[in-house]
Amino acid sequence: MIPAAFDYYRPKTMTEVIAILQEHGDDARVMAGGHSLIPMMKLRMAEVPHLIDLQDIADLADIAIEGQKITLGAMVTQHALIDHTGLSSAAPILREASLQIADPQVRYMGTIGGNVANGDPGNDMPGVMQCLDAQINLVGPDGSRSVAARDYYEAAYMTDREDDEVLTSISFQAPTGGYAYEKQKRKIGDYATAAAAVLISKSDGKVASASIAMTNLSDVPVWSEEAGAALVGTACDAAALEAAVAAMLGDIDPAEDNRGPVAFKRHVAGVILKRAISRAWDRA
Amino acid sequence: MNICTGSYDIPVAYLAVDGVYTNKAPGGVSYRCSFRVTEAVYFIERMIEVLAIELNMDAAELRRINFIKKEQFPYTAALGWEYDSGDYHTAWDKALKTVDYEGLRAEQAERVEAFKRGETRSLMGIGLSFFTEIVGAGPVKNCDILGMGMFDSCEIRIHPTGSAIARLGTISQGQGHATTFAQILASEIGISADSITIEEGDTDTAPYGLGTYGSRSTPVAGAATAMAGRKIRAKAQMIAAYLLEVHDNDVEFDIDRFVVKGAPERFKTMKEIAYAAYNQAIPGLEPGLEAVSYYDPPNMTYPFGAYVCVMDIDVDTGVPEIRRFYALDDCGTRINPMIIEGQVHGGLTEALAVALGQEIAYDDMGNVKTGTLMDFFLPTAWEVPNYETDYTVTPSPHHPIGAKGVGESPHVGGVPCFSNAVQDAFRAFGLRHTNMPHDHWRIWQTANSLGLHD
Amino acid sequence: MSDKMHIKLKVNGEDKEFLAEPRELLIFALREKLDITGPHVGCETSHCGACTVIIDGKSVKSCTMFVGQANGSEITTIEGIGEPDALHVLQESFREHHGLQCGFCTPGMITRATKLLEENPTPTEEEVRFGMAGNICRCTGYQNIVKSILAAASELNAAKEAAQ
Ligand SMILES: Cc1cc2nc3c(=O)[nH]c(=O)nc-3n(C[C@H](O)[C@H](O)[C@H](O)COP(=O)(O)OP(=O)(O)OC[C@H]3O[C@@H](n4cnc5c(N)ncnc54)[C@H](O)[C@@H]3O)c2cc1C
Ligand code: FES
Ligand code: FES
Repeated sequence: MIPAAFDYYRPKTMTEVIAILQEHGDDARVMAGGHSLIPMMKLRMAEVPHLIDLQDIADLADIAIEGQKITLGAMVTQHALIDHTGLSSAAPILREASLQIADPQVRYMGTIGGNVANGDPGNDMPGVMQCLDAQINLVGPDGSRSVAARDYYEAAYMTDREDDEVLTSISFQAPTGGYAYEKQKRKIGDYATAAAAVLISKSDGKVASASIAMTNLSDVPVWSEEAGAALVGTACDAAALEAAVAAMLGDIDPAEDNRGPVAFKRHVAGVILKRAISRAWDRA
Repeated sequence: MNICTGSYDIPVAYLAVDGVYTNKAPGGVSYRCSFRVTEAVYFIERMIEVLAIELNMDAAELRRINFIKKEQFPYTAALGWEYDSGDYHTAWDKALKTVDYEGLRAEQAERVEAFKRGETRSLMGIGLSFFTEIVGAGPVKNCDILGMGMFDSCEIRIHPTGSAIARLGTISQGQGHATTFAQILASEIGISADSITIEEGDTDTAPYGLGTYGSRSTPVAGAATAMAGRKIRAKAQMIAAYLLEVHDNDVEFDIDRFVVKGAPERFKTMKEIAYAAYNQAIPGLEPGLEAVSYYDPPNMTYPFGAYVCVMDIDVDTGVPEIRRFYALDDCGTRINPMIIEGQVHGGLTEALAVALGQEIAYDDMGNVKTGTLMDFFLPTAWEVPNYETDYTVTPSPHHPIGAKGVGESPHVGGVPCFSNAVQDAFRAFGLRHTNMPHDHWRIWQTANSLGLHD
Repeated sequence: MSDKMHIKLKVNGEDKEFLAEPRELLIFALREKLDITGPHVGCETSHCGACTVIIDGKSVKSCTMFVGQANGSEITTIEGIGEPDALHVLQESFREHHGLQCGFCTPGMITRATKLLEENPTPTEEEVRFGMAGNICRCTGYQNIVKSILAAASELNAAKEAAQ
């Protein structure tokens, strides 16, 4: 399993990164932890003649919590997300989700930026970021810009990011209320058969706001606006759960694979979503 | 497959087997006997469960009344094999008692009621299996591989210092031969296991042998080790008698020495004997202390065991969770319990994988769909339960030390046990049989086909 | 073909320098260039953990890292954890509790467990199972591996207490 040959770059500044990207167009790619990219290169499903390793770029691995605003540098690893106590209290859904990603070794290397940028429908963080209504911050030859995670994904491995742009950080408001990330998988290290990210805030015993996103049930992560809306104003009773599930099922489009046929995935998506809602509601 | 009458006294049997020539790996195939007795035991242990459903009987009781009885051994099965020894009822009763079988059934019945009342979406499965293995291939008269007889061998040299080296025709891939064979030899010749080197796998030095597979190393090469050890001991007895100036029959072996009968203060240790064997002229005896044994077993050995698995199944997601797994193995004389247990844990884990999702799947064009370890259920430490191990001891009457072999047993008994647990969970709802592997979606589909999602 | 890179690593406390194509996987550089054959290649697809080493304080599957990416780092392999006649407590414990059979997974298991106990010196059984889930063993059924790690943890803790 030897990947095709490449030129290896390890620049120290983002300016250099952008310059290499500009020079080589889509023959160049950045690498974060490499735990999605290297397996693809080994299988020769990805060929990257110019590989730019981001590990030496300063400040990309910072976690900043300023008041209600949380910013995660692209190179923050899943291990760091689990380990960071401030983050665990400010946005506990990240820890809950990270613990369900891959295995310990992969989590030391895999980064939030890579997970979000990759565009693999199996990745767990894109759904979480859509649920949080995060902004994805990019920098390119023309300067920086932000895109909402909810608008970022176009198709499997296709995102709004241009070839010469780099994801620098992800920012979002610290969520209030209850949260849950519920994932069904066959074993540790497996991608989701179905997974749901849920945030619910409560006032006067009723749902004040709800945000719901689903993982690996379409070729992109699915933020289901209507599923969230179906909960608002209810006490998360059985009828509300059914309504949310029905709305969510209208938005997903799973494909058959080794994890099972479509009917099974749709059923499990509903079950997982109900469980996630109930847990988030209990915590709200 | 012709061991498929299992542990039951079935007077007449007929077996037809279709062989399929293919360049594809059969589903679930791996190691630890998933090409041999596992299929046979899976077949009979599923049959007995289905029969219990047909007869509306408890599956444990149905097994019990059909077991071959202790006094019927050696027992010739309808398809021709002669089972060497067994005490199935004792093992079965011990297993059921330890897990509180009746309590489990009561709990299961309550769960079914609660499920019907809509109070839970989880069902409980009690997986049973009782297996008889056939290992230790084998007698040259009826076993061969492409014409090569399936004996095995051991060659022992005792050094003048009192340490020893034994070379065998088998090879350990982690089954702990260096420990097990040294222990067998230590108790035969009275040299401590620490002072015995076991050497395998070097064809320049090893005696001819057929290797390690089919749980044959202890039954065959282990027997050769004991037999060669006994040849050493016989010569050592003559040397000791000479040194002690008594008749050969007047000394007896006692752990690590020969003592004069009735005069235990007069003795020669094996260490002294080894030295004398090389350095003293003994009339009528060649110098040296070496022996070789090529062992052609008179019969196969037939280990057996009783397994119980308690599983909770999430009807809505198809996710099974193993709450308890109890494994009682009878592999005859137990040489090293720690090694036996290690073999059992490993074999059960392989069985878990096979039963619950280790599938090599192909698409319609014959392309493999499960090309990496990610693509099927390959359990990590997280998905594997803590196993409880137990045993009874029914020695093999024809093996020099009564040992039977254990490496494959847990796989052979484990696959039907896990499968039965899944299927038993749905018995109350009319399930007769469904095929392995029981991965999440297939369990879900079973529940679905029984109307449990309506 | 891309040019060879001048690679510098500190492996088990020793400085190593060699030339390699950046695409070479770290596991092959260790095994074939440096003759450090403790870390094994089980799957080559990032799933089995047999190739686990510690790189700058992280447990990493060395089949999923380019040697260029590792350039400049400090690496500990099983060879750096204990010596045949001065075994690490974990190695002793695996031997004592029959935590290995064929031994293929063992270097990865012990290297990973070293890091696990460093981060969590008093793990529960559940934490050990979760923390070791990136390492596959096809022989032992994990039970004695878990037992070995728990026993090593208590031994290390007892030694620490005695030292205080
Ligand atoms: C055995 C195994 C199991 C796994 N299980 C899961 C799982 O359950 N859930 C899950 O979500 N993931 C899983 N993963 C994937 C893992 O989490 C990856 O590490 C992660 O998806 C990508 O992060 P990375 O830092 O390794 O990215 P890389 O592999 O370095 O990059 C991935 C892609 O993103 C691009 N990229 C990376 N960083 C940037 C950036 N800053 N700007 C622009 N583009 C960038 C790269 O060019 C590449 O195309 C698993 C991986 C393995 C090996
Ligand atoms: S060889 Fe690296 S994970 Fe298997
Ligand atoms: S001991 Fe053989 S793979 Fe673990």
